[in-house]
Amino acid sequence: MNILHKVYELKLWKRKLFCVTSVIFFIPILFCIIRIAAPSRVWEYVGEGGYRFTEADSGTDVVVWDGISLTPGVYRIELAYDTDLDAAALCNVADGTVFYKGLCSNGEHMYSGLHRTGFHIWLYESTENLQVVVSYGGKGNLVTGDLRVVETKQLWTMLLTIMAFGWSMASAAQIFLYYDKCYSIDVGKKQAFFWVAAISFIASVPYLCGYTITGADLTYHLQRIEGVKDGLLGGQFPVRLEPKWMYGHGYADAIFYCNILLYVPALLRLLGFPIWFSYNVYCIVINIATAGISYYCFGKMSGSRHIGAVSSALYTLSIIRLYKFVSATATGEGTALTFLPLVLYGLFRIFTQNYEEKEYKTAWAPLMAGVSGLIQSHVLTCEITVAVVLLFCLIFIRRILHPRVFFVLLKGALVTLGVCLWFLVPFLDYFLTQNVHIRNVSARTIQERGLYPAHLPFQFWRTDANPFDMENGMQYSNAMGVGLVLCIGLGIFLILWFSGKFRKAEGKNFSEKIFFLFVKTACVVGILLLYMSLNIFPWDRIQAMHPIAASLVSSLQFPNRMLGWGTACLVLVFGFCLWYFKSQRREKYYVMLGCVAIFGVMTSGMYLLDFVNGNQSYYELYNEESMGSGYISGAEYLMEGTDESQVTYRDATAGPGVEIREYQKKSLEVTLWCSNEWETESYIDFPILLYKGYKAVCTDTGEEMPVCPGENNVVRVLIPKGFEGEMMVRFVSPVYWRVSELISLLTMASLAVMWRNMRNERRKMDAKREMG
Amino acid sequence: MRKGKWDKLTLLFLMEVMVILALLPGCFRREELKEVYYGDSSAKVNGETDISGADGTEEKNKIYVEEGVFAGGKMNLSPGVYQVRVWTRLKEGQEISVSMQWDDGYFGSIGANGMSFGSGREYGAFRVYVADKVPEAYVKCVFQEVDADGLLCLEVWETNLGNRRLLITALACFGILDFLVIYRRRILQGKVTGKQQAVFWGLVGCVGVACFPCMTNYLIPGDGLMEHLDRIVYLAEALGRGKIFPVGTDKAAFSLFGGEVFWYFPALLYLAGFPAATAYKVLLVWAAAGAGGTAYFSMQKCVKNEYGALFGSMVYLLAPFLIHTMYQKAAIGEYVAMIFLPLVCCGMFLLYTEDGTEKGEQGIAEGASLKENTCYVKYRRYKWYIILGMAAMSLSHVVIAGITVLFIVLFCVIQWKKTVQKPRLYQLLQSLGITLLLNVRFWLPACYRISSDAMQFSETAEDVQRGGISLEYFFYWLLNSESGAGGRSEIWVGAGVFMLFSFYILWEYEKRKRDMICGTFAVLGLLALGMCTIYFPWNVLGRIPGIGEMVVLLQDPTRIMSIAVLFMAFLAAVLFRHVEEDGGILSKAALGIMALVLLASAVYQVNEIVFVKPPVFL
Repeated sequence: MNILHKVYELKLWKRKLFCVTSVIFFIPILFCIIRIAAPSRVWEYVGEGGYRFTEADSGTDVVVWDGISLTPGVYRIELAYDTDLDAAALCNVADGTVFYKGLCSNGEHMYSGLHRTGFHIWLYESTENLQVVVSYGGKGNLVTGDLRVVETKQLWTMLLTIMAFGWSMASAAQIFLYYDKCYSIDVGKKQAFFWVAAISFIASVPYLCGYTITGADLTYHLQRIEGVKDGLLGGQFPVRLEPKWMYGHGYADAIFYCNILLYVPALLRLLGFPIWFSYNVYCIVINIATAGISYYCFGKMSGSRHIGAVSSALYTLSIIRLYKFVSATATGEGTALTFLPLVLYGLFRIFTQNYEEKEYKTAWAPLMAGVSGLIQSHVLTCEITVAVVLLFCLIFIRRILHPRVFFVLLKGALVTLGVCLWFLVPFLDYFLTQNVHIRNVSARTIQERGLYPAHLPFQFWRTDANPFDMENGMQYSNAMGVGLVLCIGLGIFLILWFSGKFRKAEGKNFSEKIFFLFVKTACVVGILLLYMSLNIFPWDRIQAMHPIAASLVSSLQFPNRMLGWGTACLVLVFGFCLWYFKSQRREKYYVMLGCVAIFGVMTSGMYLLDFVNGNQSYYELYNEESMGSGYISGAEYLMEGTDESQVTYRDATAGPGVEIREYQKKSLEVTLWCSNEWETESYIDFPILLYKGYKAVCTDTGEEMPVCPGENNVVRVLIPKGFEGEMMVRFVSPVYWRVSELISLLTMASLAVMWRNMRNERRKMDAKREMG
Repeated sequence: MRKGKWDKLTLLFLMEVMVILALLPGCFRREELKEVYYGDSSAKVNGETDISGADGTEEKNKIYVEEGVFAGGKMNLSPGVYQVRVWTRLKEGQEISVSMQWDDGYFGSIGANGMSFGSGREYGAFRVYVADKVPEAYVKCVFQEVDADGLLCLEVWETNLGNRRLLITALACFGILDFLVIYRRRILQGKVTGKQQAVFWGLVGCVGVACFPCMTNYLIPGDGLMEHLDRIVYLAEALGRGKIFPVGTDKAAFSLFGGEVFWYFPALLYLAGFPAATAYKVLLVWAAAGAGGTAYFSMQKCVKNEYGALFGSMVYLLAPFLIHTMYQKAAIGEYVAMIFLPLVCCGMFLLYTEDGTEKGEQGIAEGASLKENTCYVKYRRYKWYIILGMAAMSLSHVVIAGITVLFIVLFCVIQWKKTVQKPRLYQLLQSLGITLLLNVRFWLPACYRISSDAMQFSETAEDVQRGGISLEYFFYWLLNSESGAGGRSEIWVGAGVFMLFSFYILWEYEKRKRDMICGTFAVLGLLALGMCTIYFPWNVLGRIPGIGEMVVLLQDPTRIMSIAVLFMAFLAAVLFRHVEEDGGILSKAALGIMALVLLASAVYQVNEIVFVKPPVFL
């Protein structure tokens, strides 16, 4: 009997508790559905002359419209305005009559190229006196005009989601309860659930507040989420170019930096949740995934749930992960760390499992899942992963030469390629054919950003503002290291190895020997990675050797990136030490080391979390418009030569003799009517950054028009002499991109089918065994 | 070589010898002049050398100052140690700063701080440490209120110090490698027990924690750091000038407070080409290792329990006060003295706990049994721990030695019944006599100078009392380096140590044990703690003629905490043995928690030191 059948057999619908909870949740759900179905309302406020701000007229929260009466909901505020300076004024809403946080919005900056705001507000209480206010810095001129308030359905979609989630959770709890009563769930599984939940909860504490902790990269990643949302709204799937980024010019971040996992928060944004909430939910999901995956992988490798739990705690609450994910908000890199244990487990299975066993056929699966996850979350971590995998392969070269092992590795690589092809093809296409800025940064050195040896075993981390300033030494240094506990584990492992204890334990069994060899390799690789994170590692020298080396080293940016893999390797080593003591029946040492791990996590990871939670600055971000859309970190994915400071909101610019009418820009799609009365060919420059894939078509004839780089690398469409008619400019994915997407889809579908078949097969085998 | 085959270890030794032989000639190569610049060709350097005589006619070597700055020609420096020698002729208010700059080169390839010259300083030299090839290095001089004439001559020399440094580094690495190889071989042969291994690695771990702030390429700015660096450089330069050993410290009154014997080691390292900061760090590591080693040795002798001794050593080595002395106070002299404290304590403990009665003495005379004779001979050895400890202490920090003498006297008074027993008294007097004789070279000139020179101490007895700490400092666990006032925040005995002490008292009370020597240690430990506080009437004692001078010499009452920590560490070792032998699971768990508290406290302390203190790159 499979699990679904067992759940069905519980006949929940006949149970009173389930019925009551379902009714409690379904009544509001029904109400939400009715509200969603109802038509949206629009309020127009037309004034006389508007409000005029002059240079001497600076002020905060100057009321331009008041007395607006609204019921709870999510609204879009559209205030007409004209200004001659960018971001010199901020439009927002205010209301002193609603409860604390009953009105949520951060407003929107006003730009000379835009003439109307379009920001969202979240109103949770009815009001009679909502005000639209403008904070004006006293520079430039600003005139505000009419106001339009548009009701959206987002409050109700949000509530609907919350209710549905609440109902799912309540149902899941009841299923768990009744299932345990009827079929008795294994204690080990319950413990696993508890540990993963507890570790995830501890790691997620900073996300349980009504704000987002800020780090250097926060707005960049929030823009990525918004980019996915806006891309989906603009009709792209998968999203390749973020349409609103770079002041509506579109930015090719998604091509280079895979955003597949950001569809989760983007979906929440589409459902109406504010930015901080969507981001925090994403981080919580990643924490749960990290705790679960690391528990599973380390538990499987050690063959013990307890060791899996300790290792999961050590990994999920490791210093470098918390620093990257929480403190520095390097969300991509933090997400990539989720998949490292999978890669390690994949290597473990491929190299240590007996290839005569039937299960060996699937040994490639964790490696494939891990590497696919890495590629689709953080490409730079992949660079390090490739180096680590190659090191392992080098050590196990003799084993790789066995056809079965080689075949499994090859299979893993091919399936990974298949799964990631939808991302890799556009990535390589742009990287190889487009002169983007990332290809021109090989002169950037990284050795001075390396760590001191004292960084590594540092235990009581706080974070501050000295990430890699060598003049300050370690004073107020950011939290970068592996922590004392992992160093103790490494020390114990080396002592055991040194004193020949493994010789006795290994025995003569080949599988045990290779298991020991794997952990020893992990130890050596871990030490090497720790060394590579230091400022004494000759990064500068390596960079000077060859242009390719220079490019690779430069792209690393920070040697501390090595600590992610270093931590994963050391957690494995620590888990092994626990396993060793347990298997050698040294219970006293096993308990002591376990206590050291718990104590270490409490005084290191949790201590850092406490500090971050209590001291690091935070944002209460609700609407995307408040963030602006100009921050692109190191401008890595701009075309070389583009001056990002010149990019701002603007309309299309017509060349000599060109007339433009009916100009409309939605997302990255522009339609207009134009004519060229000039003696020769002329052009139109569109407020869109040029990347490969933009096409201009005359909608009347269907004829394609030539596109070339305009001023500051924007899309320039050449208008033939005497042309007159409607034209459309939009981004069209090349056919081979679409083919790669199809291949990825088919690969994933095949994987799903294969997984299902294997599960069925295993179930049948179990049933047979039970019968036997 | 075994059975005609080369042993791996022999091969390793041979390889090492070959490497050393290859490195050796470089250590004796002649210094090479890389660049020379002169500002005033008519001047004579050092009263002897005529600058214009060398290559003064060449225009390229002339110093031209543009907008107060002179930048020398580009030099291609290969790895090694260079020396920039500068001769100046400056008047009041004039200043020249000389530094080595570079445009290209890998990160960390050059280490040099430069030097400033004012009036009255006619000559100076500083080292430039080049770790990797630097293609474009040059000398930069900044002139203030003076033109090129103020700088007589500037020379850049490539020295052989780099080769010497390499040789010593190789020797140290080979030494460690050989030790590890031999140690591993002995382990595999079963000659080293598991307990011994645990003790060894445990001590290494504790020393590692204590030396954590040394794991950077800079120094932690402690109160006495510059003074000690000065001391090292002064000794090295004196030895380099060919001054006969012992050098003596005519630069300052260092020798009055501690001999310079232990400073020859870092001074020699400096002389061999290591930066002063590295030499200082090596001294720190050596001192920590020494403190751990003597603490373990002494406690093992007294407690006769390996893990107990390791536990006691951990308490001693990781006590917050000791770490504070090492880094925040940077009182390395005091710390070196603390290496030898356990030896004295051990000697006293053994003299008073073991049987040294008349019977043994008579036994020798009357041809007693072998066992009795052995006991007597062994008993006579114990005084050597005191002699060695006291002699070394006097040569490192005379104030700590004085405090130790005070506590020895107090101990003897409390245990007066045992003290007056003939063989014990005889051994004690012998210890006193031999110690005085051993140190005569130090204390005789010191006494002479104290009596002949008019010494001015900045502290008064009132200052000494004000320097004490208040009661709550005994109970701190994780004390932030940024908190507290007057830089005294880190001086505390530590909650872990205090908990252990309390546990010991409770245990002994509960088990109704009457160990008089340990009891005396406990009383003296408490007394020492009391003397560190502001509640102890130092100001009153200061008014008593004769004692007043001693109080002023003490300078800082918290120095006595080293004695308190030592006694508590000894008691912790004793407690460990008792709990191991008779304790239940709860007692053992409590002890484990206290050990964890102690360890966490030390880790937090060393973490805070590197996190809060600004770096000093030297």
